[in-house]
Amino acid sequence: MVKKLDRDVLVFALIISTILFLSGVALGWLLNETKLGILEESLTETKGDIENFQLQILLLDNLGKNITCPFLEEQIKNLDKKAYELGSKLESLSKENTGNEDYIKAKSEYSRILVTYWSLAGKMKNLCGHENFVSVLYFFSKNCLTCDEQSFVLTHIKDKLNEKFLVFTLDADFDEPVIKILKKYYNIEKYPTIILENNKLEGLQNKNNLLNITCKYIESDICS
Amino acid sequence: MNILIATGYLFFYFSLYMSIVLILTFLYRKNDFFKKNKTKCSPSISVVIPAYNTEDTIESTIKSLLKIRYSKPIEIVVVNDGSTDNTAEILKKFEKKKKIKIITNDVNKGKGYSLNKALETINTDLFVCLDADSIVDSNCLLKMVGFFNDSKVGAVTAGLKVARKDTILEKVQYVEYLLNLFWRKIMVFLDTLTVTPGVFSIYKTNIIKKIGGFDRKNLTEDMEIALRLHTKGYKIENCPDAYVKTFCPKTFIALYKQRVRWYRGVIRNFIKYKNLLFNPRFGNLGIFFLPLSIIIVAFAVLFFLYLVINGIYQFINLLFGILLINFDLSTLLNFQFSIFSIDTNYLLLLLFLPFGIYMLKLSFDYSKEYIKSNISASLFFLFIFPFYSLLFWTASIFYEIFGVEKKW
Repeated sequence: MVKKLDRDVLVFALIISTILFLSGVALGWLLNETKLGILEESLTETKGDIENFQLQILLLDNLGKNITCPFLEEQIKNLDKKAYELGSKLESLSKENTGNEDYIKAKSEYSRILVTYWSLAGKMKNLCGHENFVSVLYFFSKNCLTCDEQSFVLTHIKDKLNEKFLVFTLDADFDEPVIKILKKYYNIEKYPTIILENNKLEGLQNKNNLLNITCKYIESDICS
Repeated sequence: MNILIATGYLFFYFSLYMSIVLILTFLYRKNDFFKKNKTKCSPSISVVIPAYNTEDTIESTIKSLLKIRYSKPIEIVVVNDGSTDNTAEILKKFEKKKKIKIITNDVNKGKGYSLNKALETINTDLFVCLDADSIVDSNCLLKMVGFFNDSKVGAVTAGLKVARKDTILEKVQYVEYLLNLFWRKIMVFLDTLTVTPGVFSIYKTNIIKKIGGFDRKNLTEDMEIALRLHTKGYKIENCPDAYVKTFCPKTFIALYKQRVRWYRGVIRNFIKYKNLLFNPRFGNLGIFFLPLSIIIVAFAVLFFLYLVINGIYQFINLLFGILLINFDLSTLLNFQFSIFSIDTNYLLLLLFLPFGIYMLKLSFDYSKEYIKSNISASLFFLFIFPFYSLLFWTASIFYEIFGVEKKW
């Protein structure tokens, strides 16, 4: 006579394994929600900093360069750090949150913050005559085969030059009006594409190419 | 979440379910774990050792066998299966002292063939199959023979341990064998044990002869005979404290060859005995164990393939990236851990860790080994075994699908 599993054992095991499994899933969900919460806080904080930066630029006309520009320089360092960290957080959440409305909302907000920041940085550069940083608009797409490598190279240079190398990473596939405007303005058709100051660089760029151009605009140990 | 991550989740869920069924069974029957019967009469016993190029281990195997305690003399039959090394000379020394009987195959014919050839010459009530790389505890027979009091028992398996644990790979296998030692008894409680290992399994001679002996063309004849015993309505018992030690592969290549043969044998036998699947006539084996095992292996292999392909892609990307930055690795160490570094897709897999540690603790306790003095071996096992096991399964499935030939 062959043995048959007791139905109680099967049902009890089913309940325990389902509870354990769902606990794991719930823990993952909770962690993801916590991350999204932190991201939202960082967005709000950075948005406040951008508004402050905008206000300081407005004050430039009234108070003059000598008073305002040193504050703006300090502010841009702080903003760069925050925007960079925000971008990394957003990127780390991308795979787990495809289609998540909260995430899409946060990404949209981030894109607007980034474009505002890029625009203000350019304005500040013109008004203050500040020559110690370069702006890099980086357009990537999920269907691009070499964008991961391009991000890797840009991150490497960013780690070397810090606030002298301001990278504004934009997802070209993302349905956001400000990104569409910039894409149209710079006629972006291939990915990756980098707008380094006024230079449009299409296709994968290595460290040497990017540094050759960057070093025309700034001074750094890495350039010598 | 993509479909492959979902596959990983399903693998995890089914594995969890199966493990919990086995643990609950253990908790319910733990008082019977070492339970054994005293033999009513002492049946006559032969030990058959198929040997192929085993000059390094055959001497210690026979010597350990000669020390075995039993109320009657036991017959030792060694089948030299076309060995091309010094095995024949070593065997002659023992034959001269009339300790063993030798059967010689001129060319290598395989284990199943050798066992059948020996079986033709055997007239004892029971016979033991013993691999030529094993060391037997002297009390094994006394502990195991009592299980044959039940006339429906066709085979009894021993508690297998590894004989040597010098290298990391041997340490991993040492822990793996302890885990198997523990699982096998639980599988006996459920009547789902699907292997009678070549390392000291005892068979009732007349039953094995009646069901046609061993399948000589099978890659894992020890699994095939176990499944055949099930289909013919016989039971397989296990004596976890009848310890037999075996020498495990030392190198990765040797382990790969051994496991691919085992796993390909499993696949072929599952196909051969597909009529057992979902068949209530075979109880837990048909309706629970076999179907769930197939589902778990299938999902695990798919998940593993995803991880490997993804890992290779990431690695190539990294190498290409390093090339683009002129091999300047100074910024790669800038990584800082934060809550954002944790990928929630893989968080679920971490739940395996406490579960795995609990299973290991039980396995050590019930194998009468000390986990405290084997912490490094246990850690190696937890992190290396899932990887190599899945690698070997994937390779075995690949070989079977593409029909790569394999001989014993």
